[in-house]
Amino acid sequence: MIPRVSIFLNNLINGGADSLMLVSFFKEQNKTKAFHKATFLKKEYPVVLMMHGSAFQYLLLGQFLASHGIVVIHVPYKGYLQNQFDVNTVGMETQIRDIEFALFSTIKKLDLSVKSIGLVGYSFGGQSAVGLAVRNPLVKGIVSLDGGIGSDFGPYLLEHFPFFNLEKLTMPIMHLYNPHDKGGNLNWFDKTIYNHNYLIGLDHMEHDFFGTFGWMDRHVPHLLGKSYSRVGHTPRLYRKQV
Amino acid sequence: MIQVNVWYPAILKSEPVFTFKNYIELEGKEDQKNISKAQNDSTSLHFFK
Repeated sequence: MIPRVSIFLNNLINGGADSLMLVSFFKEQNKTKAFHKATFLKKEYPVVLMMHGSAFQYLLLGQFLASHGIVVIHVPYKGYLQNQFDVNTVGMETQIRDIEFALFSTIKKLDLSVKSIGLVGYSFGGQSAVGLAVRNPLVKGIVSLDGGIGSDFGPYLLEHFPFFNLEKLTMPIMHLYNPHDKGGNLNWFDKTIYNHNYLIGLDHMEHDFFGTFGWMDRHVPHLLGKSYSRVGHTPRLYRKQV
Repeated sequence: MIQVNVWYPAILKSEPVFTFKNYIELEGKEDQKNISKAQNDSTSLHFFK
């Protein structure tokens, strides 16, 4: 069996990443800030649930939030009856139930008392986060990392999602996106009239850069291929809805 | 089964530091879990201040 690390590196190299710089990166930047199975510092903490993405993709954000006194919970996205994720409302419901399971497993394991929850939804996880928020009153806010709610597809799924109720969408949403993405569509936010939305356009912020890969690209040029723009990454407040 | 990843504030002891490669290997384990409906098969990670 080929080691997972080799597959991971080969995929990046085949996509256009500089192999020497990639190897150098893993030699120089190998240690993260995380420790495995350390003793929980028991206190009351807010909880953030990460939806979609992988542990690798969320490692920097997860570590950063934990360093500021937040318990961060993530599950990989899987299909309901098969390994491959269902890109439809079944996938949304699966993602929501899995993260709910993860939340209650963690509450039990760490003996947590949860009074507030924040949601982070990347890509497809954007609409899943909204789908979860409208049925859990502990959810106080959503951060959408180029989430599908900023396109045609996410709002379409929510429209066909039986648990979605616009009147329950009362918590603020911060949506970060690439304003140059031709697939983007912000019209859905005009319909969410019971909450505050903060729409933040990030020039030249490619979809795959919302996570560890975005940071790694600074160290390994063309990490995700030469077609990816690396110009800027300058945050720009595009529109604020209140 | 499904893997649960948790980052939390913790008491620092002498556990080995988790590396980028460890995370990639963890992602490989995520791939091996074939369907949803989580069981209690959690992996805990933490960050110290």
